[in-house]
Amino acid sequence: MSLGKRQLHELLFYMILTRKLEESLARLHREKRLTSPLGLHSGLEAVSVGAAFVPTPRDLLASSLPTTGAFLLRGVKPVEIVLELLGKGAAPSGGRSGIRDFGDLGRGIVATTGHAATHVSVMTGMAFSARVQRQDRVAVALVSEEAVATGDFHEGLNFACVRKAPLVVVVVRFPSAARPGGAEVSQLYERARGYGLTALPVDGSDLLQVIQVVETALERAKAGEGPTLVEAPLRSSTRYIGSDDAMPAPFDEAARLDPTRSENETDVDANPIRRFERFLSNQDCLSEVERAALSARADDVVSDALRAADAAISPDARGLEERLFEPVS
Amino acid sequence: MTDVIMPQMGESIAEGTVIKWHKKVGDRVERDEPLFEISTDKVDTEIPSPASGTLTEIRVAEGQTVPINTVVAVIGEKGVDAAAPRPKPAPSPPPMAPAPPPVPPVSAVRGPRSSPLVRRMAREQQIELPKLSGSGLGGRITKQDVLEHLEARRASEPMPVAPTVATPAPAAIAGAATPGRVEISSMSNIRKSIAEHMILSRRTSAHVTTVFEVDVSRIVQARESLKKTFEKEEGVKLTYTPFFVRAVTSALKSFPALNASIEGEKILYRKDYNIGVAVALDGGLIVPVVHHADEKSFLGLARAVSDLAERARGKKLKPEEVQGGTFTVTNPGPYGALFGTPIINQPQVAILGVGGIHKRPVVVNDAIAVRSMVYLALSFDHRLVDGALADQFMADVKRRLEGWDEKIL
Amino acid sequence: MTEITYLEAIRQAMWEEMERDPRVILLGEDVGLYGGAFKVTAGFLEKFGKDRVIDTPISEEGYTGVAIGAAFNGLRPIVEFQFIDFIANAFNMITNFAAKSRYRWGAGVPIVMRGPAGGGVRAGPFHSQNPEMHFVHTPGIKVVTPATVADAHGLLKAAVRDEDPVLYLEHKKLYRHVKASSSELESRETPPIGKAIVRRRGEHIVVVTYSAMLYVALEAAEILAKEGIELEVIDLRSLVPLDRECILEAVRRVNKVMILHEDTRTGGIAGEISAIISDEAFDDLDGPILRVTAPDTPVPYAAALEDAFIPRAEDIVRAARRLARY
Repeated sequence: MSLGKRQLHELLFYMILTRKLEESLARLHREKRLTSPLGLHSGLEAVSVGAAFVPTPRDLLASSLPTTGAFLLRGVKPVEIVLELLGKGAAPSGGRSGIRDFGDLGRGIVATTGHAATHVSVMTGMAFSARVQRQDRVAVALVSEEAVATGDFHEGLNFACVRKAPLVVVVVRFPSAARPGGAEVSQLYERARGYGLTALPVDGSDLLQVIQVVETALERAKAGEGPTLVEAPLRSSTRYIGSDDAMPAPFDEAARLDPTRSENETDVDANPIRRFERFLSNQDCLSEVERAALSARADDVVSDALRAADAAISPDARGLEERLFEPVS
Repeated sequence: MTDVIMPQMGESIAEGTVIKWHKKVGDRVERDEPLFEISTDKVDTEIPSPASGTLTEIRVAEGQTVPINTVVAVIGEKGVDAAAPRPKPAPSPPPMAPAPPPVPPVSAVRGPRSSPLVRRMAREQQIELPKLSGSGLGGRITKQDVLEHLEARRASEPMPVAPTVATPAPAAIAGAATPGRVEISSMSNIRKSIAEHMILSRRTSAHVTTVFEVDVSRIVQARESLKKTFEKEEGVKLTYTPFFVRAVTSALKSFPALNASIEGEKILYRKDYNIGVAVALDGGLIVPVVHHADEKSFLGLARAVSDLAERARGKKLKPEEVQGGTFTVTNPGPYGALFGTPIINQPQVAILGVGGIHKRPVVVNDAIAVRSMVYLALSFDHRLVDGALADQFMADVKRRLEGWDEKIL
Repeated sequence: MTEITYLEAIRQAMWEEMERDPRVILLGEDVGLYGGAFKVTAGFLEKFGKDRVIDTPISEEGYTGVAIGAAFNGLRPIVEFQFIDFIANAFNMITNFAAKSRYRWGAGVPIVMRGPAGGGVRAGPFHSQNPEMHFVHTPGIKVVTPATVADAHGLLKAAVRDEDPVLYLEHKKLYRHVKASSSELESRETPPIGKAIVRRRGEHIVVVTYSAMLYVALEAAEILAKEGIELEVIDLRSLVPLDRECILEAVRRVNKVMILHEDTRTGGIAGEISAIISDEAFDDLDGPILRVTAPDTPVPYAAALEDAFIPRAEDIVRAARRLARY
């Protein structure tokens, strides 16, 4: 895929927006204005944006990870995300869900149940039904590596392999520091051989690599070659779930402008946004002015969203029992 | 002295229900003679007496469930303890049972047991439950008991609905003067007021009754096909009454003399059509009025009739709802009478009695057909209304009923 | 006039729906090549092809998920559980995914989940269960339980055409034992889901039941009629939605009621119906609401034990005599 400068800037914008939006959500949570566990991971931006950028609007996406970037790229507005989390009546689910379970078939997003991999078989079903109905579409499922332990993951993937469903499963692997007490798992892409499944490893902190690999996976799917597993380890990530967790490392703009602070290469490699910025500026595709403009635009979008969501009202309890079933005509 | 216990009929059985006592307290019982009947999860069975003697005490009444091994009764030696029942709750006969109850009755302190249904029926029909004897388990009053009581009550009173032809009875003739056995009871208020009204009416109006036979097959069919929908969609039970009220109201417009009153030598032609619909109550009748019946749609009429009847039976009518009538419709009830000769409801000049609707063979176009027929009896005041006029009015009512074509839904 | 069995009626309903609507697909273990464990889908693979008749691996949760995804994408899947007992493996997918999607985010899941339920065939604890209440209790799932050949046919068609997840519980004992003439099927319209039907009119006691117990109730009715006790028998046909009006109308008229089901006692629908009656028709009751059910145990294997487990006509007769006398 060749990307023009505008597209590259947009990709950067979405990564920055993702980060800033999540930071503001974490702040709301700290202020106890959001009370349910939040579940955010910094460092996911490249996978989030990259895995959602490649599929077309006709393709389908489901994610049990807090991939805010992916939802934004599929056309979910920042205000909708905040409305969902605040449980307002104007939220897309009317206050009945939460962001983790966001779904809208019109925008090609399937809501998950929040369980690690139940959506893998559902996305297999969507992919399989797309193939038999000769629809030119692919289903993409994002899961975390913990989900690989569940029966759902294997049942779904097995079916997809047997039926050559046009499915892409992106498994995000968190660095051991962030992983909550999980045992060391060997390279997934080697395990995939047991399924006769093509598996492609990628550096999950590198946006362009993610885009390239996901693209390959989608092309395989569209060519009828069956499912692909994309294994995307992250170099660094901070988890924020409950208010006792440490705030994710802030997207600290002030630091980079301070000549006395040098950013060490490894740290930049581990930060998807910084890494992409470095790449762009090395290619003379991004000036400091342009970068600042993108950042400022992201700030505006976030504050608009927060303001609008704040002003919205709670759902009307009288509607509680509606829409359980399709109304009988 | 022997304790009679609730036996264990199977390994997993923990309790049993006493269904029936075959003996009463004080009865002589022989060993192995069937003493009582029980019901358990697995089996119903008769339990024989464990000893001979006198049944001195019954501790568990019919219908009660107790754990196994509970002492349900006590058998004493012959002659001993028989006369002195213990102070523990031992069922004693209710003080005012009209007929000896077939089973040892429940404690007089609690009163007869009854179900929610029975209590509701008692409320609606003004029945005093303690007056009934219960044929259910443990002397419970059942739905059947209530229905039988109502039957008997209706049969023993003069036809409450149709004001019957009352032979003028001078107050001088006292029933007590006639020899023979007699039971004396006082008139209820409603009975007194009916008695007064009937006599007054007969003395005031020159009563004549004319009878017409009407083919109501069309109406019967309309009602049959629509009554379910009516009830479901409108929540109103569809009886025949609104049909008759409708026909009468329309006919009265053409025959104003039937919707009038007489005051001295003046005739008051009423411009309102307030149709009274007689409702049978326990021990009497009452005539709630559908005001401005001509202004109502059929549905409105049906609703009004149904609502008034229900509230009449529930004694919830407001005073204005039994006043202001200009014409009355009544019926002799569902007991089989062909028609009655009703007494005019003063100060009106006419009253229409609707008989029972029966299928009869009739001649239609020189062939025999089976049609739903009804007799309509109009009693009218000959001071104002002549026979010919009355008959013309009735012919109009008949025409409207036989050619019914109004859409009712 | 050909006679067809309850099983044949199920087969016919699926065949007709698959012919009529190319979106209807079938998933389950052994449904294709083998023709189904009870041969109900014999011939389907040849007729409709492997993209519509899918032999799945042994992954109830997985293939139910696949069905849900396919339903989101415009197909109308019928998911078969070879024995309904295996639905336990798909519990999460059904109760958390399928049941809640429309409510949460407006995406309906038009799937049918069917399989043979019930006991009386000496199949033991894992092949004889009646799991309806787990799903009756989960808002968002409809549950139907046909007892007659005509309903086996009509309700399956109605389920396929329904826009929401429907659990269709066919009773394995009825498969070959209940027959009807094929013309009866032709003359019937698709019955609506959520409507009960009165199978026998009676004036003394109402028996509310469903599925195979219908026949046991009717058998008991014949015995009791000789004693002058007339049962009114209501066949629920649907547990969700439940036809409360039908039940309440009968109770108001007859005033004594018992509820009969093959499901175990505690948490069975008899308790639920009992509460509804007591709440809405208390003043119409002339006696307590009785229940005749299986006891609270797994379904035993040995004939003597299973016979004691499943309600029999004599259990109903005994309860009815007690209630009639009350």
